[in-house]
Amino acid sequence: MTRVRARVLVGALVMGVGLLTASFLAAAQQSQFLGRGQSLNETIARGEYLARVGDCVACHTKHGGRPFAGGFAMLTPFGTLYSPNITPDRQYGIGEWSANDFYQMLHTGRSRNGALLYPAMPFPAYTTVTRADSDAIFAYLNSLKPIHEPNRVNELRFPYNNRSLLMGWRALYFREGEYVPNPQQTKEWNRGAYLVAGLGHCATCHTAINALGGSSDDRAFAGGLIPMQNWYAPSLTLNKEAGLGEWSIEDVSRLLKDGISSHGAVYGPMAEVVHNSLQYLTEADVRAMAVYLKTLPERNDSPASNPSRGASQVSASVLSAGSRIYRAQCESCHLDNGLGRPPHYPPLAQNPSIQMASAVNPIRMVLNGGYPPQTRGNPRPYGMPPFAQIMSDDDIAAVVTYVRVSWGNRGERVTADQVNSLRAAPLLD
Amino acid sequence: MKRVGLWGALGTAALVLIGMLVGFVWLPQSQDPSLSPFAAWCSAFGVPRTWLTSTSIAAQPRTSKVLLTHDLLGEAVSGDVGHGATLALRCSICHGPTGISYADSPNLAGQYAAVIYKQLQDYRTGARENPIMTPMAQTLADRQMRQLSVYYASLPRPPAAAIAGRGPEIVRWGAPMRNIAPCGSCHGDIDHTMASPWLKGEPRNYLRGQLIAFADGTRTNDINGQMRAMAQGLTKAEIEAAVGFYAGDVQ
Amino acid sequence: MRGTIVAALVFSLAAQMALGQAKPASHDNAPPPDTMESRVQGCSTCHGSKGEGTQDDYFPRIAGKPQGYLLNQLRNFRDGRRSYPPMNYLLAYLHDDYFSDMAQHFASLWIPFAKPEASRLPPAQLSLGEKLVRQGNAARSIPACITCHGPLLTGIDPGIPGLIGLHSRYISAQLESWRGGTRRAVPPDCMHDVARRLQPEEITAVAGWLAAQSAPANPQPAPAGSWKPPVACGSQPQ
Repeated sequence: MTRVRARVLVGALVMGVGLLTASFLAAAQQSQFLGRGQSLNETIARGEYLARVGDCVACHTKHGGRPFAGGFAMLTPFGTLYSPNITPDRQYGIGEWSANDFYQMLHTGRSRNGALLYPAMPFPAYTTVTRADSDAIFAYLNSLKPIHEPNRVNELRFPYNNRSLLMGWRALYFREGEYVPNPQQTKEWNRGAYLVAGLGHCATCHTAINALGGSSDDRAFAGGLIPMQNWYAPSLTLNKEAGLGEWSIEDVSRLLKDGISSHGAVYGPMAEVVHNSLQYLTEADVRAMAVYLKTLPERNDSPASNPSRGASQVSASVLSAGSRIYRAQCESCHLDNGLGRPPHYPPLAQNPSIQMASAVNPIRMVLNGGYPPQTRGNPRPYGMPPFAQIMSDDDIAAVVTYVRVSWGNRGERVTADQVNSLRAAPLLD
Repeated sequence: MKRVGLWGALGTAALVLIGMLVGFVWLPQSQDPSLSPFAAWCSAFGVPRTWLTSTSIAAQPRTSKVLLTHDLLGEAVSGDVGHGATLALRCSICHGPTGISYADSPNLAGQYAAVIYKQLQDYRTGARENPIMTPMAQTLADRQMRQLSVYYASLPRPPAAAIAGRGPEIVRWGAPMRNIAPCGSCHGDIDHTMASPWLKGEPRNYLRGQLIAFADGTRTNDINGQMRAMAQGLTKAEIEAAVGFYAGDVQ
Repeated sequence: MRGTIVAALVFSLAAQMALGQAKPASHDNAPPPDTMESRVQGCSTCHGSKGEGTQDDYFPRIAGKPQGYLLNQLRNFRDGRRSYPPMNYLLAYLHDDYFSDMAQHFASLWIPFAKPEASRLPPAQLSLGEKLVRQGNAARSIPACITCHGPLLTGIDPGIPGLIGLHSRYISAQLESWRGGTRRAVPPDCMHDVARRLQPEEITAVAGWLAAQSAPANPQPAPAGSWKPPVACGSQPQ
């Protein structure tokens, strides 16, 4: 063999060994999150599904930005937080992370560099996610194309810009731990509980938040006003609100998966949740969530459980003004008996969203209207027009009052001042 | 006695002569070297450089009719912010949904209410002109202008609107020899005079455009011509430095 | 005689049945009709029950606009290239395929135009506006509006809107918005390029003249392919 040929052979051998090693290392990297007996593709698909359940894309994508590249501005009473880039970019994203780092972050609320996460990232809920599910989500995120988008610095006011204060917050409001199935409940119930309390992080909105940004366990799901966004996330435990005692499992499943049902439609921030997250769940998972939610014990100590009063407490002039406006503007869709034309024109009679103690949601619906999200189950939604520009505060107060006390509804009257204060509420989060 | 009197008179006369030479010849000439000594002398006596040759007077531009008093916006009425929010929807096309513009139109979030009110009034009366603001302001009643003003004043200022650093010389000290006050003495950094806008965080192109408009007389709604007088005295470099500071360059 | 009475009875019965059908069944809460008209009630309070616009200066007429143009605007509002919070909010979770249906619905509505605005501009400014619209300004590279918006200013299918029937305040707001960059279209943004070259008084003149024009007898947009773009336009299919 000539010298040249020998050199070529050696070079080829070296290259071949190098390629083999590289591919072996890559496979080893990927295999760190393979589920038992699952191929990489299956794991990634499962991770994509779970990432949808967790609705990661909603907070980790800014308006008009690329998915998962971060930069979404979260306004809080403590200042503005910007979500980070979670694409596998090596400099700005999670390209240098391992599956272990990712699980530790979800489970303990600590980032890879040890920094405590602000609870805008709902790690108190995500702590329940299992290791296998965390690995699957990580595999999915790693399969995305890296986006070289730098992260914005948070703009939190003093003293909230000091992460070490979070230690106190965590002591009060964070309990670490994966979900432990309840052996006395069915598999379906446990799956529902895992989804609702974990990746679904429903309690993050549907629980009242105190001044420190925390919420107590015994008020979980009892409803609360979402700070800064000024929408009221209704109680899931109280029949008078979104309480599901009177809804069938099918009703709840339809609401969550399609966005509309025979009892009402989703609007406000829940429209985003259904659009980006819940519509992609399997029927079985949505049913499981419904099964779990319907077993939430009815609590009467929620901030919303005021005794409602009904029509006897409202003056006749307000009622007649409200009735006149209702006939002119609302009756053609919601009908004179308030039964609406479900699922597309929701009923107002006996509608929990109308009757609840907080008047925020009914007022905002009249002010801003809305289209339910376009989902697979509702591909061509019917919309409600906004009335803010054509009706005065007094008119809106009259018609909302009328709707809240008619047809056996037991809501309270609303005032023009309440209407006025919601005109300035932000429409876009 | 007689000798003191004579010397005293001579000395006084010499002082007067020297004073006249200094005051009427030397100082005027050093102020403007292009003048001949005779011309310097005449101008020091108050003789104008050029005589008025034409009798036609150029039309005065419309000036602002807003009378700035402490109760310019009147009593706060509950509900004004809310009504302002609904009115402001149509403004969001240019001024952004939260009062922070995406481009060169000025940010209104957190601006002083009196500033917004005055500018809207000036657009309506024609003291300030803009093809989109003028017709918009003409549709607004006085009460609606107040509502818009208090609404925008209630919005949070963007973080870029916080003062960082003390700024270039023209912002910190002004230029006293040219009658230019430090910007911050009116615009809020150091002190605030009524209806002077908060400038920090405004778009660069907007600030530059307005300073140039004041300098060349296109914009005329400043009170007593103060901004026009000062802008005319600024050099290009100073305009860029001031604009850069207020638009966001950290100094 | 009996025949007549029977006929009369049958007739009145039939009439009652027909009337009964026609009367809106306000107690019948069956789902609403499966029509686009029912679905776009969300647009009616601002754009009029048939998209004809209202008295408000800033809610434009959308009936009869070309389908491609309406589709582009719905996408622009959803994606943030045009900022108007009520629109951004209503359209946030709707997709392009549904937008096509909405656009098709409004594009096919032929509603008579309202009376044009009585202009308050002086004649000199009106004729400046007309000159810019019909001839443009070659020296400053400003194309005439009619080269893109159609010889009768009724627009060109599929994507260029007509300019008749809009309020002058709306037109000047859009032109100024383009000039400043607060209204954007898919790049290259041809309207931004054109508006940038206009002076403020020219914007007022153009808007005032356009708003004062009556609709032509045939308000249909000119057919697709009947124009050659003088400037590159990202929103128009090539």
